[in-house]
Amino acid sequence: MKILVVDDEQDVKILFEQRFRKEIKNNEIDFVFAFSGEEALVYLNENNHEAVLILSDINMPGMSGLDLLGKIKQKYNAPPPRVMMITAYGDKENYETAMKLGADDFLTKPVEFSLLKEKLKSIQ
Amino acid sequence: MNNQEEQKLNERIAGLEEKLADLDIEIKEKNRKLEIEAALEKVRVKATAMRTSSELAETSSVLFQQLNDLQINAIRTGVGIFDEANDAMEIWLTTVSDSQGVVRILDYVNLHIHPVYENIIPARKQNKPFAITELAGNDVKQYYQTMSTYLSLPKHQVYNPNEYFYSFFFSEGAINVISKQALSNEECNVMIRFAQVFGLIYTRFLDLQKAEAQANETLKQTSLDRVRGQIASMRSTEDLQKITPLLWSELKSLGVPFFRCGIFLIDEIEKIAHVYLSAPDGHSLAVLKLSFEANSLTSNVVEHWRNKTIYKEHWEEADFNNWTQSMYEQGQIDDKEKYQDAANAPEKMDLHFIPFTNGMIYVGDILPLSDEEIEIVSSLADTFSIAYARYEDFIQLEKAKQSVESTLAELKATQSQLIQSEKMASLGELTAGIAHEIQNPLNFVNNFSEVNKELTEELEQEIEKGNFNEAKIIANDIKSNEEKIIFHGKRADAIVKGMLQHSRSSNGVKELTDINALADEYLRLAYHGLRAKDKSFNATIKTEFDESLAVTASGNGGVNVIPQDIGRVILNLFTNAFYAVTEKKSLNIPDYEPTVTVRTKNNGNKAEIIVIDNGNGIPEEILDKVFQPFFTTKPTGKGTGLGLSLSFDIVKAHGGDLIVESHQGEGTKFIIQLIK
Repeated sequence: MKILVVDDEQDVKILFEQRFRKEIKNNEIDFVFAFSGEEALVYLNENNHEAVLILSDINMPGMSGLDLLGKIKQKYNAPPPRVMMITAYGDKENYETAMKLGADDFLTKPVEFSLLKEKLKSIQ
Repeated sequence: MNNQEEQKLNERIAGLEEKLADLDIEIKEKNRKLEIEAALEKVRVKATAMRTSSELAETSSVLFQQLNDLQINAIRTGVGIFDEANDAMEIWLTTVSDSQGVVRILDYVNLHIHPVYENIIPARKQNKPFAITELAGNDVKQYYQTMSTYLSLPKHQVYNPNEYFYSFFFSEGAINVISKQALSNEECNVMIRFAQVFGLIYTRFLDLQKAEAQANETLKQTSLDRVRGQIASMRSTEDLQKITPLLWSELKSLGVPFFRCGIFLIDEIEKIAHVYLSAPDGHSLAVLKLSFEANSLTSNVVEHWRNKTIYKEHWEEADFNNWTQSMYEQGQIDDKEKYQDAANAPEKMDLHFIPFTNGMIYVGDILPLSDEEIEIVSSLADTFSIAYARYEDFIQLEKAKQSVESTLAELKATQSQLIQSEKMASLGELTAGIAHEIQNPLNFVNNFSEVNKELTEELEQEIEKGNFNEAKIIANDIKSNEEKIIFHGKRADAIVKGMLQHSRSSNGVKELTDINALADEYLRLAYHGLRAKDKSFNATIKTEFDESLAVTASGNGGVNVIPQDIGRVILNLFTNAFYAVTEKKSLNIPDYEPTVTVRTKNNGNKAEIIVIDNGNGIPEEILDKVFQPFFTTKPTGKGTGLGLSLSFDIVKAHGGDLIVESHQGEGTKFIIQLIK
């Protein structure tokens, strides 16, 4: 399963690679990283439908995670990839906006990786 | 000698005697003429020698002395000066015996009161040298009865059977001669000539009077100018003490007689008269504070002042003593002796109060002042009015100044409160940003720690299994994760320190600062702060840092600034920039990408931090106001209007410049120029 992780924090890459070292080693999950919404769109354009799941931060300079979500759900509608939003601000407003835009799931930071892993397993 | 001879001789003798007699007469006539000429000449010389108008009496006395010496057959002589416009005449009495007061204006009579005067009118019109009226019998008595109501003439017990009233004209008047018999032609001619000479004296007198009036006017004007100048220079109520010596010296120079003077300043609000009194030597004698009803004098003075009229009072010694006593009892004066000037305590005095806008000028003298003298004091009073009004204006101005100053002080206090609240407000903006900024590194710290915990377990397992290569890889991972933990721990630490620095008042210590790092730090804080407040907020941030401004490991580079102060400026500029792009975004312009750019630039001896937004820009008409304190375009409660003003002050205090450039519809650029 190819998962695109979008976050402006560069260390997220290392963190994910460490957290999912077993899954990566076992080729269960393949992570791709983008450090902004714009970068994520470029990747999706170039690698159509490769990513089945997108994990995106909401608070990013430039294109926000919600903007990205809106664009993905509009553009890639046949079938659109699953998009899971992750944010530090787990308030109702953010949640509702994300759901309205078609988010498949909503997680708040700090991410509980055991929970995330379970969710990923259920998708597989 | 025969009869014929004798007769001839007698005839000759008779003829000679006759001739002698004729010659005698001729000599007498010539003598008389010479006498007259000499008399006239004496008068003329005296007239030309007249230097002041006050010498008129003296000069006139010479004339009448000469007339007297010429033995003109007159009961009385006098001078009349015509008032053409009113058909009237001023009557001057001349009495030769009285050498001191030869000329005194006795009365002013209308020419129509009696034929004696009435006859003067046609005679003057016809340019006759004199007018004459003959009264006989009862008419003489009647004349004196009529005139007794006008003139204080000697009482006539016995009236002359005939009286002749002559008026010998000169251009402005006439010499009046009253005689029991008609004057001879010779006498008339003498009088005509004397009248002409008197005309000369009178003209000279008028000229002198005019010149003196001009001189007096100049003197008066100079004096009044001095009063204006003095009063205009007064700056405080203490200066009012100077007012009495001023009044004193000006009354002196204007020639007004007095031995006491002063000013009553009347305060209608407090119902108090402030009295500044001058001693006879010009020194300030006393300053009294009298209520309006303190005594009859004060209440009368106030009453007259309200009516803008002059008030006069006459005092005997007892009145003066009573006044002094009452002032002493009221505690207004400490030393009766000094106040009364005991050695010179007046037996009687006349007090004059002349009004001006703010009070009364007081002049006290042994005798009542003449109308002219009061007139002079009045013009002094007018000057006091004008000058005092200016002084009052000044006091008003002073009051206004004081009130402005106290308002300013209040404003400054308010401002410093606002500055504090502005600081707290920006701290509030920061808090959310800080929370987010700390949350991220903390998450990493936690996550990497958890990962390391897992990894150490795996490491143990691998070691137990003897997979040392795998163990080595895991150990390396743990190591690099630990570095991440340290990195993010320090990151959180720096943020907390920054926050503390921000809330602390500036200690004013400049330090070598990496402005790239500073700009980056505050950019993040501003961004996340806004994000925390407004979820929909978003903007593209571009950073273009000039690496030559960074502080190198060897401690080179950097700019000497007070970091928390400049940080506050940057934070403020970012907040404004984000506000501007958010505003524009809310207009839903297609393809609009809210963008905030921060750029640093090494400009030789200057370092620049440039904050650019692509918002709506600032309208030109308010562009020059943006640095003014309390100027804000944000809705009430959204901005204190102090942010940019404080920023400006901070940058200026660093010896730098804060420059704004803006294009409407395109955006705004703020440039912080700092001296390296």
